[in-house]
Amino acid sequence: MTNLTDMTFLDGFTGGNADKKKKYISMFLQLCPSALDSMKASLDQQDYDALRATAHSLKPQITYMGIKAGEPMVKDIEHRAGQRVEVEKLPALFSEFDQLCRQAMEELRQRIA
Amino acid sequence: MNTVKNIFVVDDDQTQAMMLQDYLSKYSTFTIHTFNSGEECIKNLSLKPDIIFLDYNFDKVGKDAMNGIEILREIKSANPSTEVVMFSGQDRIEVAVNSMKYGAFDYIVKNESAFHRSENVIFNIIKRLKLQYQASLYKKLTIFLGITLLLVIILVVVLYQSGVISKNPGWM
Repeated sequence: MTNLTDMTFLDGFTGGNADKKKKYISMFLQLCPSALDSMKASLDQQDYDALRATAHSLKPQITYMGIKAGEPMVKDIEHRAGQRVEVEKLPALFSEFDQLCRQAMEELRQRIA
Repeated sequence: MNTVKNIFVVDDDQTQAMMLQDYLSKYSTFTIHTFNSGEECIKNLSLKPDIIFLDYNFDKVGKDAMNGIEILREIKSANPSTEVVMFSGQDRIEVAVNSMKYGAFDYIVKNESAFHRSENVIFNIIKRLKLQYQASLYKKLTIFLGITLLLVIILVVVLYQSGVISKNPGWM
């Protein structure tokens, strides 16, 4: 199975310090589910400004956790929601992103176990 | 002041703020304070920060929260010598241009290279502060030498007019 998360950045950033790496991954694992829930709620309410804001704040963390496939998705969600571009495609896009993030979180949990 | 001691990190994303604080804490000479909103940062400007890393968006704080540009303007108006570095997830040119227009020293996009860039920006600011300090020393030295020369000329003129020195001194 291909890894969904690439630790190259985090390994370099922490200088290989396992405790620091665990700290940042744990913070992400705490933050990501609530961000995804918030994005889902915003999408259901068609509150695109709120959706854009949450996608925007999650974007750097997706990059730091090395969820490469998630980067273009979260950027796309932020752009579509912010600019109201083909918003009808947002539910499918979000669903794909949500699934990817949940799988990536499972992988991250295993990394720090 | 020709160095950097006091740094503020202002970001509503606690992970981002902590990562930057951890990254910069390898330099023991820096005192780093983190704040989660612009309002908190402004309340603490009396601590006289040398550099402020300021997020552009504060959506998590609330809809009424001041945005990065508003905070930047407040900081520059209260404390013009503080250098502000805008830190944002947006790689939009107009955001960068606006930041610079209102006096930001630099604009950094939050990505993998952001932390390394922040470090470089600090060194650039230190370099600039040192150059400004040297320029001010040279200016003071020039003024001192100018005044000294003027005093010598006045003294010579006075001595000449009072006859203490003459055009044809006896030893010539």
